[in-house]
Amino acid sequence: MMSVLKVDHLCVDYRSRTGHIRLVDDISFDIQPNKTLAIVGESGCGKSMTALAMMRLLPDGATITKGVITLQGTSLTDLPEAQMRDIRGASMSMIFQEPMTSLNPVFSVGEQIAEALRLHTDLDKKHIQDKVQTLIGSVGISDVGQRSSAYPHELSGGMRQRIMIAMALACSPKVLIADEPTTALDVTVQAQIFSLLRDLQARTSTAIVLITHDMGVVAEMADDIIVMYAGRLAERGSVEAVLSRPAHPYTRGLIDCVPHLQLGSNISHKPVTEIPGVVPALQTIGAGCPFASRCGLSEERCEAAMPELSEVRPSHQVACWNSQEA
Amino acid sequence: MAAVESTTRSPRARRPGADAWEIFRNSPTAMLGLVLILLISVLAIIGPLAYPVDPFEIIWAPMSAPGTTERALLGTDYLGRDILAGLLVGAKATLIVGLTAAALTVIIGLVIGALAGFYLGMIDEILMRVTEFFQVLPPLLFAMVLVTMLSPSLWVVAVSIGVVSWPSTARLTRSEFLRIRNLEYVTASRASGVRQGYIIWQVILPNALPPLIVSATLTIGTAILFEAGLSFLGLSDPNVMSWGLMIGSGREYLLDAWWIVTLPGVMIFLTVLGVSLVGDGLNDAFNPKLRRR
Amino acid sequence: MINQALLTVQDLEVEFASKGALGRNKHVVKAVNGVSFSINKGDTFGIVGESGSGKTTTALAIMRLVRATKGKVSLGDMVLTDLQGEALRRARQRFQMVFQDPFSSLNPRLRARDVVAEPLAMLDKSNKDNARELEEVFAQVGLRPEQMDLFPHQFSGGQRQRIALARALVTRPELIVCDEPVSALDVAIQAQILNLLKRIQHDLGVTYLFISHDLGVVQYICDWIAVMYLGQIVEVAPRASLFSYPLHPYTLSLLSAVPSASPGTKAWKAITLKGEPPSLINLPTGCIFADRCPVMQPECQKSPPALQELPDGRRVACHFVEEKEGTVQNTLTGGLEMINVLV
Repeated sequence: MMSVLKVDHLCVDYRSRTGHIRLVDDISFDIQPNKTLAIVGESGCGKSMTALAMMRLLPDGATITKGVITLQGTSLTDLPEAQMRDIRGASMSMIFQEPMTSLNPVFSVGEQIAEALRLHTDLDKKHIQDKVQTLIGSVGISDVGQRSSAYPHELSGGMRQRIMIAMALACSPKVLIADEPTTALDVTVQAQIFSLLRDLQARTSTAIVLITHDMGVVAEMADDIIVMYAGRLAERGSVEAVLSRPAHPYTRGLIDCVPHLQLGSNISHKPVTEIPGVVPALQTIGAGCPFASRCGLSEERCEAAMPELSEVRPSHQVACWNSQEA
Repeated sequence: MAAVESTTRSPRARRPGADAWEIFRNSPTAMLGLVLILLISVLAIIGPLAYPVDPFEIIWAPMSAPGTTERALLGTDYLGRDILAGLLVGAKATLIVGLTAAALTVIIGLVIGALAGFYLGMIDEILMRVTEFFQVLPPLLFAMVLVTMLSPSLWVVAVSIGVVSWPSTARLTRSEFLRIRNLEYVTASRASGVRQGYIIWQVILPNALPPLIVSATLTIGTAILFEAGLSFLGLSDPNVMSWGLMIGSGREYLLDAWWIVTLPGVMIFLTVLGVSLVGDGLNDAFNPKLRRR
Repeated sequence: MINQALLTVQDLEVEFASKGALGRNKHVVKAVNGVSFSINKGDTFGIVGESGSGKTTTALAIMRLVRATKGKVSLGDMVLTDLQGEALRRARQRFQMVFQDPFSSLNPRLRARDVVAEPLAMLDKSNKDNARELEEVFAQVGLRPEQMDLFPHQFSGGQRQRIALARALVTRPELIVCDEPVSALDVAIQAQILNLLKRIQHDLGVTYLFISHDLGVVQYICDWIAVMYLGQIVEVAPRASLFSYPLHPYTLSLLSAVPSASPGTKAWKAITLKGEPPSLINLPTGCIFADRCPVMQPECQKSPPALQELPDGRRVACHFVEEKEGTVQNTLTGGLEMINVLV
């Protein structure tokens, strides 16, 4: 199947007075329509930077220094800003962790969805209004008329995230990037948002890039997964393969370090395993594997050189010298 | 990012203020301001010793232009007094009034703002009404009334300026207290059982200081200008030489002898400029958004 | 069991007045509404609930950091809700707290040593004694002595939480209230802190009240768990029973909403609850969960169910919990296996 979005050897650098650091180092993946790709890692691993690079919305000082991002055959990396603006919110849109800060507090949510439609379509006023109502209805909000004239602060967190999703889907994007969309929400609301995203995906075939740190969310939502550590790709593959047989010690650490909820009467009381230490500062990373200092299997060659990404089984790659043993 | 990993050597303890100084040091305008203030302070302290001429003594023909006589390098005023001596001696009076007034402003404003912002409720209501009362008074008129009612000495001038300018500091302190009192580390201190006075003065206040320092610095500039204004209106101590007094007494000769008014005017300008540049520099240095760049 | 209780909370109530614009439309909101429970010495008691359930307010009221409008909290033989002023301040050495966000709970202007020493101010002790105690407590939370002179911003999130824990431990309290102590930390760091909390409890016998929204974490660390909804406890149970046969439909929905990390092996689907919790301002007259309950019956909207006590000490507030053939069960939901049927 044709992939809708392709990221090829992406590098993002951050330049400051004190020098420059590589935030995203040689990341490649692609994603098909109707599929969900999860990007997983601790904070500072570069997962949000990768997403922002795809949207070409990197913060000041950070630039794409290498690599190509292709959306449906168009390379985004060297597109003029004006054309990129037409793509954002239309073929590719993004939702964020805290919907409150991404909504404008002085406009009603209906007006904000209408604005997105005005920007990217040539519908007339009447049709825009109809479309706004349909969109608000489609994200599972019942009293559409009343809600569309509400202001962001009058809505609950879950409601605001639904509005963000309605806005992001206004122009039927090919790719939806969701950056920790439910981290600020309660579990029952999280379940609602995910079932909404699944329904919408089934209807529109949108590809979803889901950024998260929660392996439970990955298992529930995603088809494929990439695990990032210190800006680099640690492991990549189908969720099925990676979660059941993690080949990188970091992936296994991420799965094992969380006390997962167990239901039923035979609960194991095994202690959760810790990943010792913290993510190293990016400017201190040398030639070796950045995880070596925290890795239980670390040996000499790990400190000496960064392992290449290699196949452990079909559609499952890992960047680890010990991948066979792991 | 600045995290210490438990397996690595620990770095030197780095005070939160160290970053601020780093930013301040790297700002050319802030450093220019600092240099100006230091120069003027040195002038005020060493000047009269190095150049021991009585600024009230008539030494030469009145209204001699600068550079026309060796007896008075910067010329003489309408009575024939040495302007250079006036500038050097006047610096001290001007700085003292500026600093005293600013200190008073900060002390009154800080205590009132801190108590209002910490205790809230009735105390806050009363203190804020008092603050509003002072805020709606026209400051210059009020200061003039105070100075006329009491003797026009240097200290009375300083106190009057302090008394009229504290409300903005009080409001700023109160808003900082309102913000910080709800932060988790203040709750944590309460939970650990420390005394209330300790929480106000040792926990909240130090964290509220950065914007207060900026505002206090800028108050020095305002106070110096205020003193000049009062002197210009003839309301300062005629027996103590200050830049304001020089301007005030020379204002009638502005068209005939520009230097009598202009030279102290330039000094005031440079001082206030220096203070403002330092204030701006501190503002940037304490602004967390500019950090870590 | 009752004679070992360290903390007893009886009928705790916290009211907040919420003012409308211009001081009009005053509402009195019961953030905590008749909460009762007790914690045995050396146990970890968890309170779970969604945002707005009143779990944090309950913790703050027990800590005497917000005013309880009604109810009684006792620690051992000391009635905390009766203490005032100096007596309360001195009593605080017996109960301490760890906050959620280690980035905001440490005073940025103090060195780690001074942060941890702060609670010692109330125990008139010499600095020499303090120095020894500080070193001991730093070691207990896994920090090195030379780190005592650093400032909070020089530590990572996990290390900051260790400092916060050291501060709570330094007066050797009997009870430590932990308010979401790991939810602000990176996933990989959470385990470090959870295991540290367990080890400290094992070594020092301290009792925890553990507030969390994360059911996995609560299951990992708590012996007893209370589930709160809209300011009230809807179910209290020992760990083993709560996760094997939840009796309240809300507990069941909460458990089913947690995404499971094992792909393919997911045994049940989530019960997707309708809507979000109603506002505290106008609570329903019947059962507070009725509007969202997947198995709501007409009678639920009429009268609120009592929090009935069952033989094994667990309590649940649902009209449809009964003893049947020797086992307790909810006649509407059955057990865990019912999740699939309900969906």
